Amino acid sequence: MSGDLVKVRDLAVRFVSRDRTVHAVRGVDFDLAAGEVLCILGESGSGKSVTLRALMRLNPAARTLMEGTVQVAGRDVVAASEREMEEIRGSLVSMVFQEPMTALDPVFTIGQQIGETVMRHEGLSKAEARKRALELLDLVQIPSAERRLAAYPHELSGGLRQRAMIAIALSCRPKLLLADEPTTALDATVQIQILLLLRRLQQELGMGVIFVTHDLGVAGEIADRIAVMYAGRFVEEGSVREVMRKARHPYTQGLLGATVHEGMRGKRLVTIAGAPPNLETPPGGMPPDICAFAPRCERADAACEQGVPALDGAFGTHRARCIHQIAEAVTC
Amino acid sequence: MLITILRRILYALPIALAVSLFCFALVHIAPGDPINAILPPDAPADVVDAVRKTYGLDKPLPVQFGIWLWKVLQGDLGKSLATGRDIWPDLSGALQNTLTLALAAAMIGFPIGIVLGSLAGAFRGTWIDRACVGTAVAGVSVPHYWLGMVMVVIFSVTLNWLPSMGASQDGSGGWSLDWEHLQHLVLPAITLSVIPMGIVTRTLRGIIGEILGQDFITTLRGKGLRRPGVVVHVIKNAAPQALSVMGLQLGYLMGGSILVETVFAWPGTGLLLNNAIFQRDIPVLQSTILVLAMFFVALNLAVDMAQSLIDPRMRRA
Amino acid sequence: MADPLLDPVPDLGGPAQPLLLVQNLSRHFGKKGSVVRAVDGVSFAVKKGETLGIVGESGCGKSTTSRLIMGLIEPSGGEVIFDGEHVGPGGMPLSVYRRQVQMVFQDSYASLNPRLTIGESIGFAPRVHGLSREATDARVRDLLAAVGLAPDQFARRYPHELSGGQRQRVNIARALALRPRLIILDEPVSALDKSVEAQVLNLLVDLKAEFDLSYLFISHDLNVVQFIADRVLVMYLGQVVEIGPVEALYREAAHPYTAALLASRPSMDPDLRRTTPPLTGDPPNPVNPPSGCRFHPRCAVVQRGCDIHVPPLADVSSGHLAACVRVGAA
Ligand SMILES: Nc1ncnc2c1ncn2[C@@H]1O[C@H](COP(=O)(O)OP(=O)(O)O)[C@@H](O)[C@H]1O
Ligand SMILES: Nc1ncnc2c1ncn2[C@@H]1O[C@H](COP(=O)(O)OP(=O)(O)O)[C@@H](O)[C@H]1O
Ligand SMILES: [Mg+2]
Ligand SMILES: [Mg+2]
Repeated sequence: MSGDLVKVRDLAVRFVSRDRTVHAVRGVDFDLAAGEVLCILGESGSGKSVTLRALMRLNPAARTLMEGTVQVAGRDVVAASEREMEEIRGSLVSMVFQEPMTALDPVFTIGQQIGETVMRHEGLSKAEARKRALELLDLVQIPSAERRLAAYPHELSGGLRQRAMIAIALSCRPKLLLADEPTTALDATVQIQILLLLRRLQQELGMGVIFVTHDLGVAGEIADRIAVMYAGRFVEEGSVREVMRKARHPYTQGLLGATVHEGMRGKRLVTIAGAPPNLETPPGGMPPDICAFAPRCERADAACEQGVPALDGAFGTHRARCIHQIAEAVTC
Repeated sequence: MLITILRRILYALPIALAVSLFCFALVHIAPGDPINAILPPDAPADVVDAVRKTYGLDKPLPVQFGIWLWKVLQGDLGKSLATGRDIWPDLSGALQNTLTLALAAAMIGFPIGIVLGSLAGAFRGTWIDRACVGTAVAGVSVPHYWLGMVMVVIFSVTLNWLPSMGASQDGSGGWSLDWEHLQHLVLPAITLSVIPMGIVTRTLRGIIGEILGQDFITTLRGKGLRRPGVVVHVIKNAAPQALSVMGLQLGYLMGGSILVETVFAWPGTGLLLNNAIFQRDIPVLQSTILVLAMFFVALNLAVDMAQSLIDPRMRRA
Repeated sequence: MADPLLDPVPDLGGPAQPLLLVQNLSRHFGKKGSVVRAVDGVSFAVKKGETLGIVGESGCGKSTTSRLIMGLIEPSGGEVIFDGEHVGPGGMPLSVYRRQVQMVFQDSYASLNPRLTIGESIGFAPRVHGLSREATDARVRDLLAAVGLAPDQFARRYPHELSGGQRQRVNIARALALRPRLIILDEPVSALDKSVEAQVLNLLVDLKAEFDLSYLFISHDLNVVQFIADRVLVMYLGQVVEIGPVEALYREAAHPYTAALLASRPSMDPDLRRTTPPLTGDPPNPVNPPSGCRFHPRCAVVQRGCDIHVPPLADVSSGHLAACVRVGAA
């Protein structure tokens, strides 16, 4: 593993308020090489968005406790001052969100919202910023770009809004692009267009991308590597082929079996019994930390309750956080 | 954009017409013959007829309304029953005084409200929030006249720093920007400003809090914008709602200062209205209400236009 | 059982009679100048015991169609026939019809009254229809058990105390409370996580057999529809462009739009990644739809005349119809 763009070690994020503490991320390690696409796959509440925001330190500062090591292009995100973070955000790292309607400011034009980023980071003049904004709209294939510069978000369709959002994120040629379910709110016909666009831009610009999704199909279209997240931890990590075809962790296997796809008609869908654990500190303090999936796992036994299994690298780059892991061919 | 503005004006016209119709009807819905409002009940019949003619009261109502409206548009509001003088000169003087007082109160109350509200919204749940909200609640709940009297007792009677009555020393109607006039303005303006201050604080707290919780704020931070850059966005998003509250409050300040004007003997429309009511001076009452209501309509129109200027989503309908 | 409420309304027309027949249904919104033709002359049938799936991009009129069938909004034209009888004035009274057709929505939270317990929500309709308190309680327990929620644990809880998947089970139980014969499901699993989606889909399959139901299943997810539907209807801009048995339609889509929809599904296999998008641009708006075939501006195989002639639904094979000139010609 070459961790030359992103290096994350033992990342933990907690949200602390007067009456409760949420342990949203509980120890995440990974590396990302330049030009690589990592998909973080998991169900809602597993900590995907929090992990992503932690890479830019965008979680609400007042309530967030962040521990561990996060380095992006050699810069220490955990220790950096707010000033340094403001320099990094939008230039070195930038982010695309799930809902382009709410993620864009409704009372500023698309042109202004692209322009302010380049004016901020590259000190361009208004006219130069406008020119760059135009180029960017062309880059993300927005037709009649000139007219769209003056448009407000509500005047664009969902697909165009997300393209505009991508244009903003790419405006200062970031080395790392973070995408938080950028196609979830879109129709399948538009989703595939956005995925292809992101893949093309990623290759052309040589960016590293961390792409969060709950959709295995989306991960299959765009990922080089997949990390499966469950209850605040990565439970499996490997190349897209390894994870999709030879999933090792019982949770990943369950997820693959539960995802409806071609040729499942008439069969019974695999389901995972139970529900993910609550990540709040219960009144009696945190219980002993064990395999978070054990309560729902068919393979679980007493050994599973002896601490958290390591993300085991016995199979090279394909690792799973399970002491009973077996390579299982899951047909897709 | 021009079309939007024209359309707003078009929408405001029927409202203005309805308001003037109401003011016109004031005289006629008052019990009895409107002539009784003008003449003593025991006036001889030929006098009644003559007056009826001069006031046009023998014509059908719609025609009367038309004539009345036409005169009003030319600034002819008729004569006061109590003084027999033309209404307009007196009313315009009073209006100027009320406007002066209202604007002064707004210039005190709105900025304080904006600052307190923004602080409370930005620091929700902290002691800053609680302090700002506490001030706002106090401002809204303290009775006007009580606060006015307390201020008079402290600053006029005890300390003898500021005058307690009228708009100027000599009681002349005019107003100009000098200390002689300003010192008369201080106490009533402060008294009048506390309620709008409280209301603006509370509203802005809500607006700012909501805006700061929205997704696009995360986007802006994610773009690396510094605090001033983000603030520009917050202001533009908050402005439409904030403007509408302040417009409404300014309207209340114009119409709602009766008590304060009475306490401080401020020669404004409030005082005028007060006297008109006690003297059953229906024409003055009618004219004052009409002018104040028109002011309200115009204010709303201005706020509406400012809002659609700022928020593109409001430009359609 | 003496209580008529405990039994479903008996079958009238026999198995060959379609349970639901929709004829030329239309609904236009808005006023002159900018009419939204949300649903524009839609006809189809739901046979007894089958699941008909409806697919199409957002805004194509799926939800409006379902609300028209439920009688929640007035149609601009067309009629609904249930088990051989016209629904509405002069035919089957709405009250009788509504007992037999129920609906489940995408937003599991918004469709439950937050102030009623789960048990009260499910028992509400039976109580209104005059079922005794004891019988209602018994039915609520049966239904909760049927949708896989332990009655003792859940009957007294409130909607906010449940997860999305559990709430959707409650909505399904509530839809079953009057023993309907047809359930309209409008994106019932779209807001759920994959593993929960699988549970709910399994449940729907089980309930259909247990309660002898027919489904009208609306979804934008073609994989889900393929899993659950017997026949599939494809909508585009308020109109039916293709309808047919699920195998035939997925194997050989006759309409270029259906083909594009199918090709837009992300593949789970990284070796089968797409390189070009099947469709460009966003779903168009049903205000002022294109002339002729409404799909022609986005169509990859558009021919001369597509912008003039409106293609009728023509047979592709038995029971499989598509509205495309290429079908009529071939
Ligand atoms: N700002 C916050 N304050 C408190 N809890 C939060 C906050 N953001 C996220 N959480 C909690 O952290 C957990 C993980 O959230 P998230 O990363 O958004 O999940 P997802 O995998 O769906 O993106 C959830 O339980 C969520 O409620
Ligand atoms: N009440 C309404 N008023 C105006 N337009 C509506 C209304 N309901 C739906 N529409 C419009 O009708 C079209 C179809 O909507 P809908 O049936 O909800 O589509 P779908 O469920 O397929 O996404 C959309 O363009 C939508 O904007
Ligand atoms: Mg998320
Ligand atoms: Mg819908």
